[in-house]
Amino acid sequence: MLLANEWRFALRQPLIWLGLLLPALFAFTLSVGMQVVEDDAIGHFQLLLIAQQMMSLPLICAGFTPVLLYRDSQWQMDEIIHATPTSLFRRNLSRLLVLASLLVTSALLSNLVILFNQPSLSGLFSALFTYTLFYSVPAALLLTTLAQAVSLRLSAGVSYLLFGGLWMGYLYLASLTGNPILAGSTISSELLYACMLWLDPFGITAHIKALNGHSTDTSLAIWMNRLLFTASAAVGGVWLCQFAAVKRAIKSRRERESTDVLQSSKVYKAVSTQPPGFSHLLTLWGQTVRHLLSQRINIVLLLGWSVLVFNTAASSAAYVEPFSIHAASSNDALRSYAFDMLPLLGCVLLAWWAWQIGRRAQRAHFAEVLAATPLRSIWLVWLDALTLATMLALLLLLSAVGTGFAELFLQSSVSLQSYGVALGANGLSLLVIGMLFIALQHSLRSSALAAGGMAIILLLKFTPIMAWLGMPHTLWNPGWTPLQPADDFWGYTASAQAFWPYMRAWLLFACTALIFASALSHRGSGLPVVRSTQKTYWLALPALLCVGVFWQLHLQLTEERPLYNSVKREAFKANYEKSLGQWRDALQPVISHIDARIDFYPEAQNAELALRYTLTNPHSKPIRDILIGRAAFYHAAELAVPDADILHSYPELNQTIYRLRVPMQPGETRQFSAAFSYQQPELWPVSGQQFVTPAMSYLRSVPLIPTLGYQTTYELTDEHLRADHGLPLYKKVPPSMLFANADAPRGSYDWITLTSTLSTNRDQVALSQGKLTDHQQQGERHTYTYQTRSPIRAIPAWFSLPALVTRSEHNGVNLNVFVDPASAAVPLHMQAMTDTLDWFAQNLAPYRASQLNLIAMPEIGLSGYALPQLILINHDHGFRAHPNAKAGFDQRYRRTVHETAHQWFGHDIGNGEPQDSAFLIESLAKYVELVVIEQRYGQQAMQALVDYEQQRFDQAHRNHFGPLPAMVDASKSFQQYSQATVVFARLRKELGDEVILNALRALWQHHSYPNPPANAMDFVRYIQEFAGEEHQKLIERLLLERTEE
Amino acid sequence: MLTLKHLNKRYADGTQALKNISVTFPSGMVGLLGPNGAGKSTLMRTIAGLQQPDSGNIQFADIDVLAKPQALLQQLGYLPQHFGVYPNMSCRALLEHIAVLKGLTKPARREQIESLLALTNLTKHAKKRVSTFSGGMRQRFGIAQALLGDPKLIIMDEPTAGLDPLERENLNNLLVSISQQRLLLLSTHIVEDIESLCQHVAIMHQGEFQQFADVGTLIAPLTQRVWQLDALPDELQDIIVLSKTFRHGHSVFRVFSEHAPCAQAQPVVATLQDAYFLSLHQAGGQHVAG
Repeated sequence: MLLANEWRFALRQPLIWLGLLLPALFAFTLSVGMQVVEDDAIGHFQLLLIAQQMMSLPLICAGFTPVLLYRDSQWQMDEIIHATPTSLFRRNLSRLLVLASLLVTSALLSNLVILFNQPSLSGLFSALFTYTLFYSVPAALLLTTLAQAVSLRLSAGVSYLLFGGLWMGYLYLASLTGNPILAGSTISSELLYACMLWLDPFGITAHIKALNGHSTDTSLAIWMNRLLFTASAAVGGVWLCQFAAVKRAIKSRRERESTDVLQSSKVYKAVSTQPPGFSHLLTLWGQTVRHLLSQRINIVLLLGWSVLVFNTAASSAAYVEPFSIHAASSNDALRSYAFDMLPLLGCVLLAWWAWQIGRRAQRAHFAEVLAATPLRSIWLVWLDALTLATMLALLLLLSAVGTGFAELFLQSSVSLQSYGVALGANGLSLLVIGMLFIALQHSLRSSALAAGGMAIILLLKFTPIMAWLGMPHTLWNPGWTPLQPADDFWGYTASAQAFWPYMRAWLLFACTALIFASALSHRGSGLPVVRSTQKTYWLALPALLCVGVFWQLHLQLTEERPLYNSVKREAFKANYEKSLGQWRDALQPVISHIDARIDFYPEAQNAELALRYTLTNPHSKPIRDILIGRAAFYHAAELAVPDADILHSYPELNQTIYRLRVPMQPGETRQFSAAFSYQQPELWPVSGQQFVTPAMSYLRSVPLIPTLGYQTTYELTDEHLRADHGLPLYKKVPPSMLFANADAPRGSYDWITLTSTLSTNRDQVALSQGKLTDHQQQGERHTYTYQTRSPIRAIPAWFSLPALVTRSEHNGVNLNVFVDPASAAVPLHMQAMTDTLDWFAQNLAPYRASQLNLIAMPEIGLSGYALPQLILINHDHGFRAHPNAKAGFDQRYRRTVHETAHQWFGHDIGNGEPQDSAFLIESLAKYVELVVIEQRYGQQAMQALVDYEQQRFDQAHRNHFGPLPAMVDASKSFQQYSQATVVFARLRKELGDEVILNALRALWQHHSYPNPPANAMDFVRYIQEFAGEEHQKLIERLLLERTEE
Repeated sequence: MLTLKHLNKRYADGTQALKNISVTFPSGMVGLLGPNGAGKSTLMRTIAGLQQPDSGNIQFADIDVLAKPQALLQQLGYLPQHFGVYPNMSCRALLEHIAVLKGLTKPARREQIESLLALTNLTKHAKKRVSTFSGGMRQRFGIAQALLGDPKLIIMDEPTAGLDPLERENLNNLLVSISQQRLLLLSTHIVEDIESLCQHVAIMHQGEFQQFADVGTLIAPLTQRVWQLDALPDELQDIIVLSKTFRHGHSVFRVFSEHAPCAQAQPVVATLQDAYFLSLHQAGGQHVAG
């Protein structure tokens, strides 16, 4: 009876419905957006359930608690309720049970949403039942008991804070214990992990371990944990109900009684008023801000934020990667929170303040008094926006204070300009969100609807919901700009130009929303809008202006990047395969030479490219039709194909079929030219490996330049996407099966010779593969000509760089390091390159070219990257960083050795066989790391590297579900790099380097260019051949067997 | 001073809260009488611009209120029937807050707030949080805020609610003193207060004005027609029972009749309450002791 009564009450509360609906919506986005496990449907499903519980259950409890447990005091019903004959114990218990059951209902609803979003339901119902029983119900009981304890002692506001803290605290703990839901999570302490296996209040740590195939080890921990917490929650809940009944008689409301009465002797004196002016607004603003700051919760939030910023910046500003640190700068300190944590928590805080500001009068039942004052709605709205902006400014100020203290702690030099830009730019984005929140609070009378509106904004901003709905677009993310954290290489060059075009549009949008809110304002009262008879047609003006600006922005986005979202990219790929699939096996000439003329204009962020392709027919039959195109990420190039007619053109695919008037005979060569320009997009940040900026320009040819023939790389590989687009199934056969026989069909090398004529500004140097054969200066322009002396893998790349270079020569190879020569790390990189060159020359094959360039690059998402004859090393990782006190090896040296090794493993062998995996590239480069580090720094340093990779592998493996593929089939980076290091360390120990080297030499002998390309199984066969019989099983186990759970 | 023309308001649930109200209120105190749900609060909130009528016009002095609601708000003092207060704000701070909203300059604020605190005898409690005030003190705060500035139209919905008899008396004195040159629209269930304070009275029932006139005019038709009885006669023909009260535990009836309804009937002086009950009876409303 009592329970039914409580349920009836609960179901009448909009917040309860919101608490049921929003998590379900979150579950929906989670289940469509989270790709965790490929081959373990039940494990994946349970992981989603865990994510849902971790992310939402404490927050739902925070939302429900005031509605159910604080309602009497909040709505001054306590005296009436207290006067009823139901005992306090029974009343509390019933509320507690209803809160717990609502939490379970919410969890169950969300879990069902996840369930029905899975591709197959097989086995999932029982998994859902078990999870609900063992994890959702105990978690609900635990949170409920906690809510009851909080409600006995603390105010509703503090309860929000406490649950928020609990939520964040648990996520933090989870991130320290290698929870696979949280990106970047690793086990920071084995002791903590062991404790959490037994004492995780939600039992998730042990459950994840069990899911990862350790169910027998963890079953006792799981049972004990679940029993302990369920029993504690149940007993604690009942005890608290009893405790409340005994201890908490109704709180007497402390009222001030007065025996004074109205003074009949006093005379009322009226004073004149005037329309509120600027000084009034200023006073009101001050009052409202003081009011917000008079609330302890806001003070705690602001100070807590400052401490959080300090902690984050102090702990991560100097960190580069494991065993590697740098002298932190302001940019590093700001990057640690200002571009991710600040937007997220800032939005949450703004939502909280907007609600406090916008609903203050309504919540205090003071709205009618306020609404009867003559202050205009427009001023009320803008005043609230100004107040929120002030709170935001305070938040930013405290961020700066927290960062400043962190920098003081790290003894780094403070750059106020960096503070101004990072906090100012992110602050403006937050301001837009704040203005939208205020507009919602004033436009919508219902506080539940306004809260829903704010939730939708947060959902749009922080979840991929629009992508799931098939409408991905950057403009769905309110207040977003592509501004990226500054790095010390080139500051904000990567994205600065894109900031204002977006921000202008968002500020206009926010102002328009506030203008509309002024017209629709209910004056903070929740009362119906009172409109004067004056017409409001003028509102169409800002609305139209806003639509116009956003439409213009959209057009420019599309113009700059035609395939601007994943839907368009997928559609292009599907369309490409459907339209041109028949060209997959069509005979086509190969590109044998490229003459490139490229003029860089760094200041204009533009490059003009003119390419002349030389084609050769390597087949035994004549070729009549050729397919030339360009990736649809770009606009079509201007093509000139002599003695050919256009047979068919696919403008939407950027592809054209040419019919040669005279078929190309076997061995014959022809030429065609392509011209196009590269203009750095204004609205897109620098990403990938094509950019032209005043600081540095880099154009990798793939996928920039026109292609010849069918491009398998354009095909959709995801099975679900292929099915969605009606494409046949795509079965990827692992290399261990595909190349199980030595005589399996092989691919072919696509190597070319290259001549590059590059011009750039006088203060820069242009660079490409090949030997510098000519250098001319004409006025303000320098022209460089590079020519390869023999074919290279067909990945030309062209650079324009500041003329800062350190040159050296080693055994006939010119080594150039393009970075400020004052950098202390230059000799180390030179050493790494020469050591690697020497090792290969002595053990395998000498370097094919006469020059090797190492270029410091900004933060573009890569720590190191190798192209033929070129190595790119992240400036921060390679030149600012240095080993920390615990480092057993130097990451800078290791990385350069690795990238240098790619000149052999990757750009010599390991290409030409697209169906092979990365074993011959990444895994063998890890082998080279081991031997070269051992040679330079000794066995201890090599062992430190092995230990480090072993630890990385263990952590990643712990979070991996299902068996691991064989080493030669590995597709995950933790296998290709970390496991490979451990495997090669073992092979070295058991077989010795000579056996491995013999295998590699055989590989070179039979498969280096221009022989048929090698695959991973070739290496396995050679090493088996050279190893003794006693090692065959070990080789098979390490390289060919799947690693079971 | 305040003219309402053909004012209509229907709520979403179908209740016709105002039915074609047309009236002109002169300056001074105007009492609004009516049973619960008669539409008094709706009328006052509509005049105060807190909600919009479906149709009709409101003219205050030379202001078209519906066209320029802001102009009316410049001259309005409003005390709603129920109101809360902001948490964590002292009495003076909250008055200051509203004074700013009303457009008082800083010196004017300082002067008038002190004066109003003294007038409502809240000076001693000026630094205390209003949220901790008792009902009477909070009501006095409400009156003080309504009087901030120089309101020409003061609307008070049940201003004496929560006040003890002495406070009520003093408030009445205050209201009389401030109603010079102003229109003070007063709604209360205490008919005595209206009879003693207001020159004009409007009686509302089911969204309509049953009567609007000065108090004398309303009472005049009842002169020498109101009788007091200890018990009602068996025959109630031509008698309208206006009220049944108790005195020392014995019932006392007041009836309206052209002639003495029985030998024991004593003629009594007609009051506004008699006129109010008679009006309700004639409108088909509640009948006190029928």
